[in-house]
Amino acid sequence: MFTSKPSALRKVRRPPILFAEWFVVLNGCVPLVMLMYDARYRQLGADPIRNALQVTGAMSLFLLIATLSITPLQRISGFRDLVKSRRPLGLMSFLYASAHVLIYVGYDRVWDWADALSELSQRRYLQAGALAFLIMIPLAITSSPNMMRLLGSRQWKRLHKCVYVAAIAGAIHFWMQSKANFYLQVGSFIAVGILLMTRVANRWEPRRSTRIT
Amino acid sequence: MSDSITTKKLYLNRRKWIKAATLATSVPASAAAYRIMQPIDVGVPLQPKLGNWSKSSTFQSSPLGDLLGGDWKTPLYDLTHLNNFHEFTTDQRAVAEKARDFVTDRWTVEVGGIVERPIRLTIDEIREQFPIEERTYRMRCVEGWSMVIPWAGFPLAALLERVRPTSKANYVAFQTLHDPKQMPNQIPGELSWPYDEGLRLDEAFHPLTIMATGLYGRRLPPQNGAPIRLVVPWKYGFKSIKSVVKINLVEDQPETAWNRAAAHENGFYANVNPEVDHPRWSQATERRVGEFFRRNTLPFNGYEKQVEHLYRGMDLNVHF
Repeated sequence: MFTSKPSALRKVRRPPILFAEWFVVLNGCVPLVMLMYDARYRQLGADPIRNALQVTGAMSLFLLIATLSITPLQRISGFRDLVKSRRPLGLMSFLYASAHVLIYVGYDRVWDWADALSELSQRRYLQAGALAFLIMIPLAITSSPNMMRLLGSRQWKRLHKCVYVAAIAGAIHFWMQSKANFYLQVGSFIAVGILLMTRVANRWEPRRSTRIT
Repeated sequence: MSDSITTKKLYLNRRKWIKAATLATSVPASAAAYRIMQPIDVGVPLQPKLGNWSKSSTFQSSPLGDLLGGDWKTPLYDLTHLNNFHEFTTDQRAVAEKARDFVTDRWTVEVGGIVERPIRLTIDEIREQFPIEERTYRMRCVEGWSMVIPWAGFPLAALLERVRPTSKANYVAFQTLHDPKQMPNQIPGELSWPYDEGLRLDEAFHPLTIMATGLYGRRLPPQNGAPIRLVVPWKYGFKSIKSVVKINLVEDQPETAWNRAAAHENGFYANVNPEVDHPRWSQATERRVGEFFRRNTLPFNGYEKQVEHLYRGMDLNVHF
């Protein structure tokens, strides 16, 4: 019965893990591993949970910005292999976002879901963060080449444009929770803004690839 | 011949090697970058790093030095936030705060008594003259908890040899600083001040007995007995007297603070012994700070092989 599967559903042989993936995943895990080490050795200062939340949140947003900057950077540099690091970067961003949420619910709210939800209903910055995280879930699930084929290129692209909403929501969340030191917060906004503008600008440019007649 | 083949293979695989090298160097670089942006913060001001300090001493590689059997070191935060230092407060978790401003710059240690050459050393002279090494010991508190502490220090024997005890000397008596201005809890109470402790001469000369001046590669924080303290790893923690100013060699067994306060609870020897219970609780098990379950307490805190000969023929139920 499985032989009648549409071709899009059939799995292709798993390709070898690429250098770009190794590079992003190994380096991307460094902060997480060191954070866990610091937590084990009580080196996270007077407010360890807040510290861990800040590290995971900032890592998630910065990795998301890095994910978004891959396409423009590739265009500028002409370095084609760069695109191979886009998916692992996005997934690492999701990993940190998940860790961030788990630390919030598990440690900050001590698994008190009712408390977490009542906080969520009251605080705008939590709503922005939750929106960003909720958007990232389907994007992470559909990030594999198999899912891309299943959805079809156009659908997939349409869905993954939502990443900009997640980035903007993430930047707002980052902005609203901070009390001082606005450099990183402002920087994130500017970065997301520039990246969004390059995308919009691209739409008006004549498409090179389809012009072969 | 085979060498040149390998070389050729390597040459052909150079792209792989470049990639591997990139991975191998980028990860430590990321780690370093992370550490710069996220420095270690134990929630207390860190002490200056130790100078003349060797991690791998000849002691550690000697049969005596095989002491730990793979125990985890207790995190610095716990070492510096769970202290019994009644001179400051009896609240173990508050000693760090109360002792924060303890000044120990102009410290001197007098070593005298029945010796040929009594001396008086400043803390700087001690730091210069006695090469220190790392000694990671278990510390078992009489209250039933324990830690694993990477001390830095030197054998007490080195200090005692300097003053040359005469043949009449049988015991060593130690004294903590008496300074109620700096130590707010040095008020009349359970303990008499200054805190004092004592060892038998052979215990004092045992190579495991050290004067510690640091932990985790840094100078001793005030709450851990800055600037210099005794560490006797096979005895209950209260024997390891903190912030020592006087060391006297004496003929008779000296009086000691906790023994004076409650002789039936705290013996002069106070060797860690799971078989001799404290009058108010069992000493058979202990809670290792950071662990969930209690562990069995070991005879002589696990240093039985090294020190058991000191007490041969003694009834440890009497001399507890």
